[in-house]
Amino acid sequence: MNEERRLRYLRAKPIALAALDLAEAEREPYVVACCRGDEDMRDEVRWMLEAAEATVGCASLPRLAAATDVVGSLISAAGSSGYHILRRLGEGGGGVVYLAERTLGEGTPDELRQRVAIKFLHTGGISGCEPLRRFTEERRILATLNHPNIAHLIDGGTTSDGRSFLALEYVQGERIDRWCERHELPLRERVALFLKVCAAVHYAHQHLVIHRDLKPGNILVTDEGEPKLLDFGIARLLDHVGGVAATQTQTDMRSLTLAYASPEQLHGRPLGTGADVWSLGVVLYQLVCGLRPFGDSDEASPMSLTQAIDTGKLLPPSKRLRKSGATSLWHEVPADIDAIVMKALRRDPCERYAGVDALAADLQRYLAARPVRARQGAAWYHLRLFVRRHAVGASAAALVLALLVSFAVQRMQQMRRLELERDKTAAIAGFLQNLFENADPTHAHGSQVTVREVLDRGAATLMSQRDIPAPVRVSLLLSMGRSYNQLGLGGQAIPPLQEARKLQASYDADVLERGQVLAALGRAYSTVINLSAAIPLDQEAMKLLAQAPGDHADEILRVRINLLYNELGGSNETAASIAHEVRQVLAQLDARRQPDRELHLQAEAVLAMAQGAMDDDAGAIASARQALHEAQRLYVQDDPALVYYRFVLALVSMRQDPAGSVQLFRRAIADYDRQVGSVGPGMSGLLTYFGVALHQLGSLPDARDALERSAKLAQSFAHESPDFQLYTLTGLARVYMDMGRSADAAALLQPQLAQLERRARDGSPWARENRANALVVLGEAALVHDDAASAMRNFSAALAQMGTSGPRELPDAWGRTLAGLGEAALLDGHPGQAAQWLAQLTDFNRASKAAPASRGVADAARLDARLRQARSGTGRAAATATGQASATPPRESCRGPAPAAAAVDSSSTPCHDAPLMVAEQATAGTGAKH
Amino acid sequence: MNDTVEVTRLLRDAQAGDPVALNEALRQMYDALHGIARAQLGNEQMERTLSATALVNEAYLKVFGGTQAPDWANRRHLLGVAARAMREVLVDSARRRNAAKRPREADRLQITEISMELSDGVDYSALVECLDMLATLDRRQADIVAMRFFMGMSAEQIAMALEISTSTVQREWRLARAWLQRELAG
Repeated sequence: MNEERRLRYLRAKPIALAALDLAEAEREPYVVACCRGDEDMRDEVRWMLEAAEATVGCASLPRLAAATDVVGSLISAAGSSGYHILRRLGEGGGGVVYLAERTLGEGTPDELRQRVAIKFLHTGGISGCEPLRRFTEERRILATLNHPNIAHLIDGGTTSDGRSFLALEYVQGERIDRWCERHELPLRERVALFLKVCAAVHYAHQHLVIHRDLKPGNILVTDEGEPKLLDFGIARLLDHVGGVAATQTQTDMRSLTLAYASPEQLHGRPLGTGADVWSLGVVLYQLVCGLRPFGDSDEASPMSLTQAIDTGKLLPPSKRLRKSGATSLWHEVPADIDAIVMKALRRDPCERYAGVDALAADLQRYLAARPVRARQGAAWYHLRLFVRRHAVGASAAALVLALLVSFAVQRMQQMRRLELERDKTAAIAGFLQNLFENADPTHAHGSQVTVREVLDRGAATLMSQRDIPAPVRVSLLLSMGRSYNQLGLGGQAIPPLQEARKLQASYDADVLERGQVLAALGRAYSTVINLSAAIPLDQEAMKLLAQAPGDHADEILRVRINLLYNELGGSNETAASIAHEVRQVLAQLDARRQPDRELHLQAEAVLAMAQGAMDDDAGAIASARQALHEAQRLYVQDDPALVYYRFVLALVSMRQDPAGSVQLFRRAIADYDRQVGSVGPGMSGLLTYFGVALHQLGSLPDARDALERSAKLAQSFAHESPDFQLYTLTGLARVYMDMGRSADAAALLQPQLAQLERRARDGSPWARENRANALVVLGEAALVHDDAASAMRNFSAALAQMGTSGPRELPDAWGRTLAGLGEAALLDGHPGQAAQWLAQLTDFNRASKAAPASRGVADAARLDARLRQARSGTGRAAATATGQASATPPRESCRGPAPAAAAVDSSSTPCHDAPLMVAEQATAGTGAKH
Repeated sequence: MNDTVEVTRLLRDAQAGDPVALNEALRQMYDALHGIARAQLGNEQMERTLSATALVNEAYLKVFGGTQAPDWANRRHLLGVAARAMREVLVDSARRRNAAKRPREADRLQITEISMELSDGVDYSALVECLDMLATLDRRQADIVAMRFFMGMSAEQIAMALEISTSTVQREWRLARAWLQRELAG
């Protein structure tokens, strides 16, 4: 630091400090006078004044790396993909933005180069497990925003040197205001363009995401004339990264663009969709008259601008235009537009449009020359009560609640049309108030109440709150259920959704809403791996959605994919017919101009599993790779969704590349553990199928560890997902058997017999198969202990359970049962009977074209040998040999078409939490091919 | 040297400008801080984050004995030493971590109140250099930065310790922060 700068700092400081004590207006003249024409000095003082007054941003030191130029460098995330930084795009929204290129699948034939906008955040890296999870959770919600007019969040996390970054879809376009000016767009077309913006914002609101920083700079128009919204929800995400710093400095303003900020934003109050309505109002104002309502000329300083937004006079666009004397394309702004803009710009959020859809609807009415609502006066302003009551600090919780409030308000409007009594309004207000009180940060850990916590509280309260009218409760319960599903918490979603379903019976609920509740419920059951419960729900939901007025094609398709997935494991549909149907779905999607990418890759994954179940390994692997490839483009790098697609690939590649598959499994489990946590159905599902796969590979101790861990987890949600628990236990028992621990295997399954039978009686093929397999294990365990009677009983029960379809559907269990019955008869001293069973087994082996090295053939050979020995008088030795033989596992002992235990989330987030499927089915026939 | 009277005398001398006494006081505080931090971080069962205030308090107790947390308002002379020692500990740990080819999680020192300011990406030698420079330029600002960065003290605590108003602390803090940012951005 040179002496000159040093002296300047020292001399500037007293001037700056003195100036700070002066009134705002007196400062500049004072500074100018003090500096006596020394421009450098004046700049230094001004810089100090700015720094001293800065209540925004920069709570921390700049990270050195971010301060240096990174152009040309290669950034790699903690995960795998790397970004090549091309050039600096600009700064804003909490960080510096660079244009970068990402290469996917480098060196492979389908190498893909993708241009992205990388934003480095002005914050420290995210440290600690909890903040990371919260950040991931928030980002996951953002990543579910999948709309043609919203720039997609592609990736994010922490670079290997510890900087936080986000990668967003790179949009080449021009700011909406400039684009409109350059094209001299007529008013009606501007409104039409703006409506597209509204649709995107409304879409995000429905996904519980508000933008908070809408401004022309964040709305670009592409060459094709399509608007694209940037930075959706980033402001909220930054709250989470900001963590400690944000709460310490009590500022949430960061990089807020004041001219577009709503009054509630300026005051740091909890924000709802109303904040975005306001900002859209400002943008619309600007689009229709070319001037901003605030901050265009008179209010240059932040202080005066804040005052203007808060209390200043707001002229309607038409008057503003006239007053400014600007020459405009139009002679005047129509009164309807004036009214609409002014309604969006009410200072009290409750007096604004209740939602962006309402604003859009009014603009549509204007275009259709129908009377606009904004001019009909305000009928429901007393609802301001809602927002007034939540004086809790701005947090994630408040945000979610504010969104729920706006749902409730919209719902109230509908209800008013139905002329419901007034006191019901008070009931909702009471409910919301309650939520806010419970969201008191001092009760939770710090001020960072998570979305999850709010949902938990909200759901609990709503379940018991009887004084809120049923239709309102239903819409709130549905929103909560969907949010749970989005977070992969199907188990939590079930009770509120069941309650909603029950409530709907009490009033005349419309078809669409009924379909939506069922669809959400079906998905919730899928995520906890209860396929037989999910299937009828999906079917019913599809029927209802198809009946509902309006176009719900995507929604129906989503349910249909989920249904196919469930059917793969929980029904009698053949894999071939499911594959055929999935191909139809894919063709349907491909035929669209802008297919929903998430639906596409979900369908691709189902196809992979169906192909795996059909023994089409090459096809299955290709489809699974394609799905993973698409998923990597769609989801952020540490999104748990990717775990699921990796898992699918692992399953279908087991036969061709067992070692690689086990590696994929391990990675999926580690990722899942880090991102989501090691409890719940998701982890349990991963572990069970991993364990089954390891068993097939012959790594018994590893298989045992995985399955034991999973069995422990599965117990906690056995109520929601009984078949999955039984499947896990049976799998574990089989491993025990192969390890020679037949007593443990029997002890594990014996207590489950009653439950196995209950499930099998009215359950799915999966449940019937679980019972058959369990009985076979018990029979084989009895043989080891020379208990001929018990063996006979269990094998006979297994035979009866499988019935006539056994040889076709459960060849493995069938063959083992025949062999077991033969051994039992021999042990019991009935060589004649044993010979009959042997004959049946030999016939079966021949009919099923069993390979010479397969388990069935080996069993037959062994039984034959022992039978001969027995007949030649060495029965006892043979019986001993039986025991030894049973204890030595043939590698293909798992061969058998277990059902697909699939749990895909085919709604907006695909099954992060229960990434399961047809382990056995996909790998069926392993033995035969070895 | 664990005699409390002795340490107090040391600190008084250090405050009066005796470099040997200052070094000795620093060394003791440093050893105490380092020892406690190591012990805590080495314990696998423990959370791997520490509170800066708790750390300093504990070190104080270790060096000066007694059972009471220090009352900084009456122990101003100690503050500078403690903050400086804390800074050495942090910088030391960060350097080690940055120098390691493959930093181990166990080497990571996370201090709750200040982790946001001092995260892994910061160039510590540059930071220390800037802070030293600031100290020659404006002693009070540098003290405020040290207390805030390295001891996690709140504006109110700093105000009390330095006997100035909270708003002055905040103003000085912002100026200092802006200055550091400018210098670091170079």
